[in-house]
Amino acid sequence: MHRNKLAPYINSGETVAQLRLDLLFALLPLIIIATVQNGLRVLVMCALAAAASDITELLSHLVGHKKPDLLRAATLGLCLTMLCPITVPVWLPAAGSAFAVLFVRVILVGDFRTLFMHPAIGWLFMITVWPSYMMTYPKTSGFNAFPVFADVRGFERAWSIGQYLQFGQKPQTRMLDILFGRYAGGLGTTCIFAILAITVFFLIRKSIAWHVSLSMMATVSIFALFINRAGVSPAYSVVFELCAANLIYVAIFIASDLVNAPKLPVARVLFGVLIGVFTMLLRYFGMFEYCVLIALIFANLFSGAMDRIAVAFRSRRAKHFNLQS
Amino acid sequence: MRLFSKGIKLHKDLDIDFSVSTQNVSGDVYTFLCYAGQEYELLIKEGSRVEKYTKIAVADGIPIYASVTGEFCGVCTFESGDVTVIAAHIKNSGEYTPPFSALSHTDIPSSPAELLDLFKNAAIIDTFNKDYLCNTFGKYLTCDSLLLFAVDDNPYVVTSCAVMCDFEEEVLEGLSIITRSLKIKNAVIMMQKNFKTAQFFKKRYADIKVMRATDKYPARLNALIYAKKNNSLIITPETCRAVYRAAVFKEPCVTKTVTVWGDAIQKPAAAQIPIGTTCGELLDMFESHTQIGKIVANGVMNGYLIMPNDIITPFIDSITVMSDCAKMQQKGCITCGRCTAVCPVGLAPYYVLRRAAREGSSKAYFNFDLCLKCGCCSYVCPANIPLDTYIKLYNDERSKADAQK
Ligand code: SF4
Ligand code: SF4
Repeated sequence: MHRNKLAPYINSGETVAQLRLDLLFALLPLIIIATVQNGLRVLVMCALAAAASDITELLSHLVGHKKPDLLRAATLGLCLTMLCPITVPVWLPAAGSAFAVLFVRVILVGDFRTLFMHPAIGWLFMITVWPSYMMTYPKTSGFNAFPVFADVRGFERAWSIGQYLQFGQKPQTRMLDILFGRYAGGLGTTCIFAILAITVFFLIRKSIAWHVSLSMMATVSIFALFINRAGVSPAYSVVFELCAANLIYVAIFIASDLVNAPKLPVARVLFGVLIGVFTMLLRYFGMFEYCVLIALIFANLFSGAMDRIAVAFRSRRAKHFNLQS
Repeated sequence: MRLFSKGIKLHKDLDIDFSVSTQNVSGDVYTFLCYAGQEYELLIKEGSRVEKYTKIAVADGIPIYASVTGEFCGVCTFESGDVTVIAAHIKNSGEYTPPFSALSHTDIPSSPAELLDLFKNAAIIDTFNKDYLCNTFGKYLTCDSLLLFAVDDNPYVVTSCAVMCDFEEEVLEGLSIITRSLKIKNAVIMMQKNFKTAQFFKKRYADIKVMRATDKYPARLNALIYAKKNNSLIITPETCRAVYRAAVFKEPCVTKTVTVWGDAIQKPAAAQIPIGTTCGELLDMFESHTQIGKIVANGVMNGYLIMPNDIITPFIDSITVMSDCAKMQQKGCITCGRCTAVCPVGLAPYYVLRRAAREGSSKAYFNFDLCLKCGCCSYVCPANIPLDTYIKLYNDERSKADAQK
């Protein structure tokens, strides 16, 4: 028996590893669906990305940085791979993951680490260095077999929903295809049905900051209702804007990351709204399909400030609630 | 199932026998005198014989009575949480002493001054306020009602409910003495939601309001919210019972009711024992079905670890005996914000860590003295960080810094 342990002596049973595993488990269905739709190439990309981020994490530990968190690093690799089209070279997600770990874990220090979301940084790196790979999609029928290792060449190209909207055209995608992921987009980001099912899992496990996802999607939907880029009905406009450029995937898997999102519910809602507003403004006034991740990086810079405002507000409320006197 | 708004979910409600057994102890008893650093004056000599209920010392102006009959062997010190207590060692002769009128006052109090006198002479302690009632008496004079905290406050402290159920008449008589002396008209009993005894009290005592604590907050917070809104003073059933026994039987407060429970205990129950009994002797009265890992005083959420040779002070309400000895490994904060989401009073514990680490804890940013030390934040923390303890340290340092200014 020992005297030194501090209260409480029971806990909820949640551990840091469990939170990490939740994300990993949630990615598995997406990886399986992507593999069924595109072949074993997906698994190779995932394995390379996870290995690259783990190796970089270990190396960063060797040069004197924090204890390696291999689970988190591997999850980052997988998360990033799911954002890439199947036609990118197999090594590309690995390069993006390694860069993200290197940048966030080694170059940034202290509080700056939480200023940038790993996957968003990796994605920004990939799209800046290899834009043609990242924005070209093959035409998909639902089940394709791409070469496992070799580069994919001479494939028939298709426009993503985001690209249609960018040029003010009506996306040629049926609702059922959207639900089951039969349209051009990132590997694991298109099957809305699977993503929604995973969201339920996340909500039960409380492993994401759902306020962010919800407020972000709500903001985008409100914008889509009033500003219709494709000349379709408001309901279709909402669906297309939400599915364009992996937005739902980003909202559920990346923006709602507990570590980077603000900590207080009010701040989380504000954060989601901010991402939504930035995304839609960039969509309307920018020339770039993937503005959601840029918006995310930008809004993330304010996440600390939002927390501070919410804490100050809470503190004042708590003072009114002074029960000790 | 107990459920606090967003944090604590206890799937196992306490399966406890709410009858209190009165236990005579045979081993030595260490009667609580005061905390280390406080003044006390011994009224007996080492080696002399003391009778149960005789005045053996005066500590900070409050009389201390022997809780058993035997030989006084001297004064010793014990650790109790983060404080040291001074106790009088009495070699228990095991002789049975029938209750006798140890207190000098004659009438049942009928005015605030008489009530204060009773509190002081009988050395009555209220565990909700964690002090002698005579020290908190000022609060009684300004309150509009009394709130009797009789909640089975799992996973905090559960003794109140047992005393309420088993000594119902003595408790209510005591409550009536206090309300009459202070000319307070309203008294409210707080019991937990869905507890059938609450219904029973409601039916039986039409003039006393019975309130049910919701599962939204820890019961203590329910009581504090009610007390704040209604300018009430919170007392425990054990206090009321002590008042009754002091007023009617002239009996000073020398016993304590302690609930013993936990996964290592076969039949959780409440026992009334002399103050100063060793924890080991108390545990001998209960059968444990596994090896004992930890003994926690005053609830697993915000209590402290004690050892079998520590003593039961008047401030210990419950003992939790756990089979699990494994330490929960503390990790670095992953900034998940769960602690902030569950805090019932709306604090942001996550910031204590960050601010205190970055800028030194003497800087006052947030009003952490509002913290109830309920432990919800630490309970949900996936990194096992004892946040409420850090908040306590932060507050201590801040008050030290303020005092130095
Ligand atoms: S211990 Fe204090 S800070 Fe933690 S949840 Fe309870 S009241 Fe809030
Ligand atoms: S719950 Fe624990 S890990 Fe999460 S923010 Fe609070 S202190 Fe950090």
